[in-house]
This record gives sequence, C-alpha cells and structure tokens, in this order.
Amino acid sequence: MKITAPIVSAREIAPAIKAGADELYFGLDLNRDTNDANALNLYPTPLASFRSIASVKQAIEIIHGYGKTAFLCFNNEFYLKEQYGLITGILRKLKGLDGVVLTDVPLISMIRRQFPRLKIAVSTRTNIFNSSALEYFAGLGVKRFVLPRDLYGKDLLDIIKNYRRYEFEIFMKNENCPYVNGLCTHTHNIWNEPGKAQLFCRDKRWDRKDALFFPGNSAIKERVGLALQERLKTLNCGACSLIYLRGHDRDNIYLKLTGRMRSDQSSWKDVEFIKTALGLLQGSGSEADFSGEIQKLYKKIYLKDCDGGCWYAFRKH
Amino acid sequence: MPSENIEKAVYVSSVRDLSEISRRSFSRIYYGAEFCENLIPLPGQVTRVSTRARKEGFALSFLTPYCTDAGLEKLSKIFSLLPDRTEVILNDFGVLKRMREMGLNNLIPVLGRLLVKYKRDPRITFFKMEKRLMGYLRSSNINIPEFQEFLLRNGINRIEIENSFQGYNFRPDKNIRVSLYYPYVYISTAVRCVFKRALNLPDCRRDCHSGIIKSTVSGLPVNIITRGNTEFYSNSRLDSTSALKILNMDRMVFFARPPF
Repeated sequence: MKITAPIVSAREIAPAIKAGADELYFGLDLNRDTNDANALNLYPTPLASFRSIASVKQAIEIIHGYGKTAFLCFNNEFYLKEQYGLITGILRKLKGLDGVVLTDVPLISMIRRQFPRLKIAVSTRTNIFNSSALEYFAGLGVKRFVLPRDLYGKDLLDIIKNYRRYEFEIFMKNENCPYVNGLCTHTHNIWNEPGKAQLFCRDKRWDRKDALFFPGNSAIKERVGLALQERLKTLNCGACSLIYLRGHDRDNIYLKLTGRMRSDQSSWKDVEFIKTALGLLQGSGSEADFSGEIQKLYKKIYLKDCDGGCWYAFRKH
Repeated sequence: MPSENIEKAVYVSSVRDLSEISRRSFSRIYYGAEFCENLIPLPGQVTRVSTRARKEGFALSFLTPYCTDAGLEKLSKIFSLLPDRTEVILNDFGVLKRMREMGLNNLIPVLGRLLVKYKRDPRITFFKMEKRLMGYLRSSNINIPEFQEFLLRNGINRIEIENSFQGYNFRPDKNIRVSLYYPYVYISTAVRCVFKRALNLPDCRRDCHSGIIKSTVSGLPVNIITRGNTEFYSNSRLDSTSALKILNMDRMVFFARPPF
C-alpha cells in the first residue's frame, strides 16, 4: 500500500517523501483573496494551496525527480461557468501532471475528453457508498476512487475486493468532519464577523446548545446525549484498520492523509506514523496484537495516547 | 402566495398519515427514506401506501437515500413494486444506475436535493459576509448548462430544491421542472448517527423514531432540528421573493415534520 500526502509548497516535497510518502497532492489558487466563491478546490484559503502555475510546474518536476507521482485537486462540488475555462487552461500548462482529483460531473467529462492522459480520481465528495455508484463514475472514465470514510469496514473491503482493476484512496489520518463529507452543506471560509470561528459544526465559540425531546424514553435520551458529545471527538485515525486491508492490496491502495494546513512537523509525523504502521503490518499477527502495536507507535510519535476512536467499523465493540 | 396552478404534494411516513391527507389539498404523495438506508420502508409498507394512494387518486413520488450495496438491494426489491409513472427521487447516482440496469423505464427519475450541490448553512443571511459572496451562495450545480444537459440525457426532467433563506439564481432549461420543498431545509447528514447504539457500527434499531433534537446557536435566530441522522432548519415563509421567483417551479412539497 502506498501513502498519498498533501503539500502546500515545493519545500515540503523532500521532507514528505523522506518521511515515506509515495504520492503528493495539492491545490492551486490564483486569487489574491480566496473564499468559497472563487476557490478552485475545497480548501478556500490561501494557506492551503500553491499560488502560481509556475510553482506547481516546479513542484511536479521535483516530485518526478524522486520517482513519485503528483495529483492536483479541483474537487469542488460544482464550478461556475467561467471557472471551467480557467481549470482547463491551467491543465494545458501542466503537461507533466499525473492526475487530478475531481467531484463535479461535467468537469469529469470535460477533462476526460480534453486530457485523456490524465488519471482521474474522484473525491470522497462523490459519495461512492455502493458498487453501482462506483460503476457509474467508472463509466465516465474515472480510474481511482477516494472512498468515504463513513463506509463500514465490510462495505469498504467488498468494494476493494470486487473492483481490483481500479485504484482506491482510503483515509487514514486527520479527516474529522462529523458528517458525511460529500453531503455537508456548511460553509467554512466566508464569515467576516469578528471573532467568529468558521467550523460551525464543532467550534465551541458558536455556543451550540442541544435540547433533546424524547417523550417517555429517558434511556434513549441519555444515550443520544452522550453520543452527541462523543461525535464531536476528534476521531481522525484509521491506522488500526490496516490489518483488515492486509492481503487485499494489488498495488492499487493509497492511504490518504489530509490536512494541508497542518504544520510541517505534524504532517511529516503523520506520514512517518502510517509508514511505520505499514512496516509493523508485515510482521503482525492478530488484530489485537496489531492494534496494541499501533497504539504504542502512536504514543511514540505523537507523545500522547490515542483516544481509541477508530473511523472504520471493522472491530466489534 | 404561490399560484393555484402549482401542484401540491405532501410527505407521508405511513399509511396512517395518508388517511389524514385530503385530496382537496394535495394531489401527490411523497413517501420513502431520503437520508438513511436503515429507514427504507419494507416492501409490504410500500405496497400498502402505493395501493392506498392510487385508490384515493394521489400521484406518488418515492424518496431514496444515499446507500450502501445493502440499501441498493432493498431498493431494487421495492422498485419492482412501484406503480407505473411513480417518480423515484434520487440522492445517489448509484441508484440511478441500478434503475437503468433493471430497465425500469416505467419509473421517472428525479434529482433529489442531496444531488443539488448548494450551500444551506443556516447562518447565511443572518451573519455578515462579503456581499459578492451572496451570488455564489445562490448558485448550485444547476446553474451549469452542462449539468442540465447531463440531467436531460439521463432522462431527468425534474429537480428538487428547498425553501432556503438565500434563494437560488439558476435558470433551468425549459424541459426541467422544479419542486420546492418546505419548510424544512436540509443542512447535513451523518452515517455516524447519534441515535445508533454505537456511532461507527451499522447496528440500528430505529431509535430515531423516539425523539428529536433542537439546537440553538448563539446569535442565530433559527433552530437546527435533528431528526435521525440529518439536520435541518425551518423556513416557512413562502411569500419571500426567492421562493416565488424560481423559474419552472410547478410543485410545492410540504413536510409536516423533518423527514427521515
């Protein structure tokens, strides 16, 4: 299994690859003031993307120099008409690019026609929850699928086993939206109220208070109340689940790290963590043994205990 | 207020709900599960509702959720039971593909609200933001001619939208009709449903039927309502200019409660 990791500048390439990344992905933003209305990818902030086509070209050359691959994200759910021309214009100038990460259906078709050499990966925001959805997008020329981290373990494995001719990206670290990523309609980066945080779903500064109405069902009410708090935990790791993927890789599984705006040090720790976990996988025995080893590794790398919340429901609780 | 020529539809969750609906007020029933495959009705339930609806002269639209392969199998059994000309409200392209594979040309595919890509953040219009952003926030994938062509090529001639605070600015093709859901506007949904016994396991006992969550947010004059795995806000103002100015809007769908 390979590791695909995010970068925001060329200076991050060497440390990412040294830490163990096999592929790097990134965004490009040409606007001086970026927001949800004009961003070309899902991180509508200048901090999260390259800022010029020249810098992307340079990055691609460096990445190829290491023998690795480079993907560019144009993963918004839709684009305004003028943005389509901008995107295809950018791609014409990036002839060395290996692939793109897309969501918008018309854009997928457009890029398939105009850039047949480019590998198309569809973002988790296309919500590939079932085999028919996968086949639907495969019919549009898609070769790689970023699977939703909301998939239950069995469903994830079934898709991987039944569609070996395609590539899959599986979230491993840092993606922590409590909702289905591809179906959440919150905005993140448009508010200019002073002191107002962006993440409506989880930032306590929005002071969200929940009132539960469960007539005659106090036991369920109590359980739901606890679950509301539980869901806000930063559950951002799927490393223990690697043991279930063992044996299923046909050189087509990419373990995806997210967090383009994380500090360099955090990002490389994540790559190192997953890379080392893959090494442990080779010699590991049972699920419990592997999980124990991963938790020790987690503590060694992050200097704190993992909170025990794994994304993927392979394990029985 | 909306014109008398607009078709009036209502969401029902059971045959019992249907008994309380007057044919004088509504001509179409919406039934099914929009957000959770665990709540897809059983074939027997679907047959009871569709038989009763047909007997009483209601047209039928069947709501379908995003789903795993298990959910697709449930839906496949139900599709063969639906009367001709039933609309199937799609919230997953995999469901459209399955319908095509089954050769279900007697059913009418409709683009559900989860496939209308659009921001429904309840803060919109209540908190300050740059004015130029409002144009974007009224936009959706429906604004794009290529996407409308894609819909028409796939036999989809109707889209479902909601009575959002900010409204819409798309111009639909003359062959695309629009339904407006009110008052509940979808915000977000989760597989990690707080009503389940364990957040990240599939085991579900439909405890979401037991209650509802209402959330307040500091400075926001509207509540967030969670029913099952999905959050909504409510906007019942139909006399707003945004609702009345939606082009090709020929149907209004009323939900007495937030749907599952």
